[in-house]
Amino acid sequence: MKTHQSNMDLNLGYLDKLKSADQASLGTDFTESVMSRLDEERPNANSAIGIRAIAVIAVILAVNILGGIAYFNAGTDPASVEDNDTIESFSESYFSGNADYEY
Amino acid sequence: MARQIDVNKLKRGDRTEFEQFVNAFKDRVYSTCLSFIPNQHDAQDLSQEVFLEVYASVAHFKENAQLSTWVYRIAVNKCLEEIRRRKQQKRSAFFKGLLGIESEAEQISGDKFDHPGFQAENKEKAEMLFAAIGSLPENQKIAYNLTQVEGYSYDEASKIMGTTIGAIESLLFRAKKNLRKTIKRE
Repeated sequence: MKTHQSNMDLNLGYLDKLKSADQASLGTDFTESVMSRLDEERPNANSAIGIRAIAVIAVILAVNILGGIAYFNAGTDPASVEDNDTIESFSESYFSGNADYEY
Repeated sequence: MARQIDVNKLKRGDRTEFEQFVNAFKDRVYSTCLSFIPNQHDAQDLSQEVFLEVYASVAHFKENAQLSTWVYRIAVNKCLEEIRRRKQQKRSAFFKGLLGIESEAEQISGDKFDHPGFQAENKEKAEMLFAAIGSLPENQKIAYNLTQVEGYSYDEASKIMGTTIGAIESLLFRAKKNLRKTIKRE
């Protein structure tokens, strides 16, 4: 291989000399196979979009349902109601005269 | 090119126009793919991928560049993706080899030099040069392949790469310098 290296020029002309007269080209069968792949892949693409849409809707529904369940559970669970804090803080501020109410 | 391609028809998904378009661009796209992946079967597969990508995304083509520039840019990107995928595959095969999990299905195919555009007696020289080009940093490789292998003008190459002519010249200068070093080393 070393014998070639000294002669190797790195410009376009050098590669042109190496190239054969028949340039790399594709026949009409290439176009046909592109068109047939297009036919094959379009239904797949459509079904993929459909599956993705269904998945997104399912996730949204699941989040909503879980959110709803959590909300109703929170509303009925006595431990989650923390009214005492509010009442205490209100009465403290009212009797200390710091309340924002004027009569 | 037989006649001007109607971009609006392409955008509407007109199949006859798309067929014309494939016929008009297939050889240049194939040749561009071959310069990055010098194996005729792989380059054909990649060219098909390029046209499918064009069909899928032509509706988003903004027409601020020429259609040809846009198509060649897609071709270059597809080739770079394929090169990255192969590198990743090689790395994964290497690690699996270390761990002793080798499967025949994962052996890397298509790295064999099989460029149809070279005379048989020159294939050895061409293979060596393509291997050296393949080892260049990405931008240098693109600039060198487009201008020196494929014969795109500096202006065309700069539009495909989305850079300036000055940057192309600089990339070429560095690419040639690196190629000389690589070839001397081998």
